[in-house]
Amino acid sequence: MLAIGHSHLQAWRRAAERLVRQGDDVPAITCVSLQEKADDPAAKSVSAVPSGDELAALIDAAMSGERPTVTFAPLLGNEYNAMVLARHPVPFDFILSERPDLIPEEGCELVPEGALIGTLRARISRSVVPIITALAEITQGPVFLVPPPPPVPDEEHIKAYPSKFGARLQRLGVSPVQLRVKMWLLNRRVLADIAREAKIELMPLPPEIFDSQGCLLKRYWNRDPTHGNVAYGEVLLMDAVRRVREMSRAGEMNNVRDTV
Amino acid sequence: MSVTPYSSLPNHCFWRRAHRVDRLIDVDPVVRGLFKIAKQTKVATAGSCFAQHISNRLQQAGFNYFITEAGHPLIDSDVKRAYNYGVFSARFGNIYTAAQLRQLMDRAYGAFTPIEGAWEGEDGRFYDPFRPAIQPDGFNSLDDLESDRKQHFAAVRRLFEEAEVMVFTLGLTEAWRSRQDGAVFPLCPGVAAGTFSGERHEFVNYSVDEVVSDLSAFITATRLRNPSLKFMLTVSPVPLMATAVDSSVITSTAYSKAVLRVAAEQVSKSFEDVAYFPSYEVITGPAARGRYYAEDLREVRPAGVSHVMRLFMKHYVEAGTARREPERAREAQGADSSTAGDEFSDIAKDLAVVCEEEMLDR
Repeated sequence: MLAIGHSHLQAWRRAAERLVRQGDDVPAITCVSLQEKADDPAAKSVSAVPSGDELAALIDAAMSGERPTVTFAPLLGNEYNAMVLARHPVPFDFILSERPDLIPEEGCELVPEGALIGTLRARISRSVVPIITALAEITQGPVFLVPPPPPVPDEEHIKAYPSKFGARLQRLGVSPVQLRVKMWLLNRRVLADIAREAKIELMPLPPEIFDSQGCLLKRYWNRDPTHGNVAYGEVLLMDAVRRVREMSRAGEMNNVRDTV
Repeated sequence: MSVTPYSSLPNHCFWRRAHRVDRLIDVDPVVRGLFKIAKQTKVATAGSCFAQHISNRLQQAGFNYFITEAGHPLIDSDVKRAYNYGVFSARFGNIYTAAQLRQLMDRAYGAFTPIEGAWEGEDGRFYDPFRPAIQPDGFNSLDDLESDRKQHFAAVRRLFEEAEVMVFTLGLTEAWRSRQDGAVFPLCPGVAAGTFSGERHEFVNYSVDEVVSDLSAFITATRLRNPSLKFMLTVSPVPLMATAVDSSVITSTAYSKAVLRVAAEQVSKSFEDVAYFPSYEVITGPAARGRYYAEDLREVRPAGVSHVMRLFMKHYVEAGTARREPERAREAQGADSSTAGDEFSDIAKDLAVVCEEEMLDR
């Protein structure tokens, strides 16, 4: 198994390390962080959106020349947060077609859902699409695009651990949780479309991580405004392992790509 | 030779002298502007496809092009354009007839609510009968459409109440309207959305009196809320895409443009601070020899738009307010156009004009 991605990969990596230390029965999983490679001054040539050749070289180096039989890719994931974590100076909202019960906030500028989809798609296409296209070519088995975790609902937690959003959050405040949930759902829909077009799958997140609002359950919050913690990583990792085992039993490991 | 009223008229009153110029772009049917526009003057636009050229050039020339529905700053500019933000001063789409303009005023202020408020497509999505192409794929739900419409009308009211100059381009006399309540549609139902019904919809070809009446009512009503609002009326030189009258589209076009030209003249003479701007004459006048029309004999070439805007700047803009329009003498004289820099950017924007009427011939 290969898990490759950016900052959201950390939860997977820490979970894998913990499970191995505990002696749990998990398949070998190689984690490749594109974030670290991009931040590493010794690897200046690798951008956060590496080329196909760079990606192949990274995987080869990490897996000693072997190619993964299944890949999970928690790539980037802050495109929607960049738009909605901090309250925009021009407050906005929208009607989410799949959840019309989530009524837009009074007094906000109403934005067409399609316009938000178009904007999200443009941003994600620049970053995620080149990577998943390359992964689909490089790897042998199925590729799963992993969406970012759902939003942390608690404003106080976000303000207490603002990470790089600190200055903006201080100035503007946190967007209402309902808007953040709606944007996350929209982002997930865009990711699903992009995955389908690239002939890969979007990994459904396990239902146990969600609270009743569709936010991330408290036990999975990391000490920052947007990431899941190691417990979150464990849930996802075990879910990934379960999928791999089911696919193996169904003989799907080598031909899932052909059927999606 | 005896003295006659012609003896002391200026050169622009004589055909030969008015065309005795060195360059095509010096042909000037404007003569003088009725009022002046300063850099900070809030200039609004509405009208047919040709009006978009004016909108684009005003923005490029650094005017205070007044937009009350610009789209949220979070949205990518390409996406905004696809959703018709910034094409006109509010997101009303093309307004082809004076009746449609008057109706917009009535609807925005709650004086008229058409019976046909929404069309449901076969795809289960909803379309605004009065802005059928405003979004690439319609609205998700009726609630979505109505919420957007409410926001749009607030923007329209603000536009009418705060604009200082409004440029309106009259496009058509032919239209389709509801038999039930007279609501006029920008496009025949069924073309962009909706379903045509001979029982519910009827054709109308507005007369001079009707256009004058609608324009006059609009100007009067707007000025009740915004007494100092100035108007500039133009007639679109773009021929009809199609005519619903069983005659040649060529004669239907001539009739339409004649009606609109006469109506614009009558209205401009009836109200203070309502100017007629002769962009129609610039494009279609014999001096241009058809060179301002593209290969399809319908679209207006950037050179033609430039000539129009050059005259606009010359007569309506306070001295030193905005940059000059690039002169496209070579292109106007039929030479191959090689564009660069600002001119290329202008052409790209001109070509991006959204013309819903073109759907009639798909």
